[in-house]
Formats: sequence, structure tokens, C-alpha cells
Amino acid sequence: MTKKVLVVDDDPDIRELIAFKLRQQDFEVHLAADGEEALVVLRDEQPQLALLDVMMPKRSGLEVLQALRDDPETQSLPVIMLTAKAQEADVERGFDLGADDYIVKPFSPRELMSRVRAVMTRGNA
Amino acid sequence: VIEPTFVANALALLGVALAVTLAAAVMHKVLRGGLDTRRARLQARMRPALLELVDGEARPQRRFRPTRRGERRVLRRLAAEHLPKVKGDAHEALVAWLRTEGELDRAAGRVERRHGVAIAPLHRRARATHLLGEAGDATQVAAVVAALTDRSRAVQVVAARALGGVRDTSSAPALLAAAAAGVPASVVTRALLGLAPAPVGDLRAALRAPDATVRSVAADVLGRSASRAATGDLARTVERDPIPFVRARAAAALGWLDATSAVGSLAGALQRDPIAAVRKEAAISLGRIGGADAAHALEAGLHDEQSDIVQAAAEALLGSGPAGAALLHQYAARADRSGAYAREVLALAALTKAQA
Repeated sequence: MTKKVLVVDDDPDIRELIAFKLRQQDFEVHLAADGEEALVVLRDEQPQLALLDVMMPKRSGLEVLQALRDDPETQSLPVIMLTAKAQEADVERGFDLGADDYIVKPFSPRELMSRVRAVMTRGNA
Repeated sequence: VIEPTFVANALALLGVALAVTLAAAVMHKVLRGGLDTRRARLQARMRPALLELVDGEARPQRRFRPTRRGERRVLRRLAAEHLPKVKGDAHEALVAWLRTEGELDRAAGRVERRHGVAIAPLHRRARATHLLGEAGDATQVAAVVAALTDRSRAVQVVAARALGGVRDTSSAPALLAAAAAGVPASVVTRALLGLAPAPVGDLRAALRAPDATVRSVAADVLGRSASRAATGDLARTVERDPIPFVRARAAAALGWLDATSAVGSLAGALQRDPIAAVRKEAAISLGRIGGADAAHALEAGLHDEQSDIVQAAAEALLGSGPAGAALLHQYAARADRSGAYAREVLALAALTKAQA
């Protein structure tokens, strides 16, 4: 069965790039441009993995992560945080909230995909 | 007396001028809108090609062929915009394609000057410099270094940042010269910290530069880049530099270097420097270095005339290890000002520990 991945980033170039790589690997990709839209898509599509940018309008990635962990239906959803180099302090908070991994921007698409596969594998274990 | 025909002619002329201006404004808007729409359409058409290009695992030249000149130009622009967003294979693929397209050489050409005169307008020079920095192409260092002396401060700043991205150590002297010429010290410091390996020789020499900003930047970068070979030079700077903020930076750098051999110089600064900021940095660094000698030196700070130095010395003593902590407890029993600060620092530390 095709796995669904939600990509949340306010930069359309980043969304498009990640979606392109994920689709190459036969993932079904859903996109959101901010935290609020992400929560709507999460509820409607119930993806198996979420890639969350930390700094976003309306609701930050950390707030979305907190909301996910507070909801029994999504509390075990694997989440990879996307963070800018200057925001690496947020990584610690992300892990405290239950993030599974993080990627620092600028990122290598190849590395991103190997992290996605690793987190998905752990999720299946 | 103004003749009625003159008024009528003047009004007619004004009307024509207004009509022409309005028509020109509408025309401009329509043309601009058309151009924007065309560009957006072209960008949308080129996006799949760009994504294949970014895909480091692919061979982009074979998989897509933008045929028209306009398409290639748009794709070059998109590729340049994506450079700061990716790294690894994807970054290399974009740079390689931009190089084969001649875009990097074109950018270097835009930065160049002929007979001391810039040949491209400001925004093009700045964009070209930025592109060269994002590409990180060591073969273009000379062009970016040349941009450090551009007549526009904005281009100079972009060039300094770009050199930090290219990371070529040979650009260190030019960056230090840019600090002397007025490029903000924070920008130059960041760029120098980006160079690999750290240009320790140039930075040590810069501690003796005539310009105080250059000396201060050099001290800062030597400390942050953990260049222990510079400990002696930094200690001399703490002891002898005539400018207080340079001495303060050098004192801070010695703390980051954990320079036990510089405890004597820092102790001297804490006891004798006439400027409080220097004494404070010396106290903080002695605390970072730690050990019995540093603790002994910090005791002088507890008797400083300025209370913030006394507080800094008390905090540093607590963090300097068992000898310093023991000394601070001894002082806490005293009834004078140093005792009050010692008690305050110990109480705060106990509270922080309890909260943790």
C-alpha cells in the first residue's frame, strides 16, 4: 500500500523539492504551507509520516508537534523536523516534544530520503 | 491682461500631457503584467526541469532540454535561487550545471571593474556576488575578493558573506582589510569563522595590525575557532594593546581557548587594567579556565572597586572548580561587600540546582 507523507513548509520551493523526491520513491505526498493547514490535512489524510518545518506562519512546527502528541490518534505519528541552521536550539525542544528526527536546512535531498526511510522503518518495527 | 486663447491653449496642452502620462502608465502596467505572467508561465514550465536538475542522482543534461534562450535564462535563475536551499549532491549538480551554462563566469564578469569603474549596475553586482558565494566555487575567489572593494557598501557586505560561504582560507587578508575599510566587524567575523582551515597565521599577524577593529576581529575569531597556537599572541594583546575593546576581546578569547598558560596575563588584567570591561572579561575567562591558579587570581576580583566585577569574579570562582568554590564559601562568611556577593552567588546557584 502506498504510504502517505505530509510535507509542511512555508517555502514552496522546499515543499516542491521534497515532494518530488518522495514521489520518486512512490510515496503519496500531501502538502501544507503553514501549521493550521497542516492540522487540517493531518486530520483528513491521516499520513504515516510528517515532515514539519519549525518556523512557519500561524502555527509553528513545534506547536503542530505539540498538538499531534496531545491527540491520542496522532501521538505516535513519526515526525521529522526541518530546521534552519540558526534555529538548532529548537531541535532539543522538538525532541522533548517527541520528534523522531530532524534535518537542518539547507539539506541534502538524498540524506533526507535516507532519514525518511529510517524513520518509516522504525515506525513499522 | 491674459488673452483667452492663451488660457485655452495652456489648458489643452495640460490635458494632452495628462492624457499621455495616463496612457503611458496604463501601457507600462499592461506590459509589466504581461511580462510577469509570461515569466510565471515560463517558471512553471521550467520547474520539472529544475527538479530533475536538483536531483543529484540523475544526469540532468540528458533528461531535459530547455530549448529556447528565455527558458534557459529562467532555469538559470531558478537554479541560482535554489542554491542556498540544498546541499550535497543536489548543490553540486546545480553548481555544475550553472558552470556549464557559463553563469558563474558571467557573474564574475559582472563583479569586475574596468579601470576602477564598475561595469554592471549595483543590483546586478550584488546578485552576481551572492551567486558566486552560494556556488562556493574556489575558482571564483578572486572575483569575490575584488567585490570587497566595490564602491557600494552593500556589495562589500555581500562579498564578505560570500567569501565565508566559499571558505577559501586565502581570502582572509582581504576580509581583514575589509574590516579596516568599514565592512561591519560582525560580518567579517562570521566570514572568517567560515573559512576552513582557520587562517591562524593571518589572524595572529592581524593582532599587530594598525587598525583596532582588525585586531579586535582577529582576537575574536582566534578565540572562537579554538586556535590554541595563538595563546601567546592573545596574552600579549591583553597586556599591551592600547585599545580597551581589543584587550577585552583578547581576554575573552583566552577563556574560550581554555588557555591555562595565560592565567598570569589574565590575572594581571584583572588586577591592573584601568578599564572595567577588560577586568570583567578577564574574570569570566579565569572562571572558564578554572583550576587553583585561576581561583587564586580571581580572589583579587572580589576586592574590585566596581560591584559588577566583584559579582563576575564571584560567579567565575564558583565555576572554576573545587578550589574556587572553597574560596567562595570562605568569603561568604565575611561581613564586607565581597562576602555579600559570595553569599548571593552561592544562594542563586543553590536555587538553580533545586529547580533543576
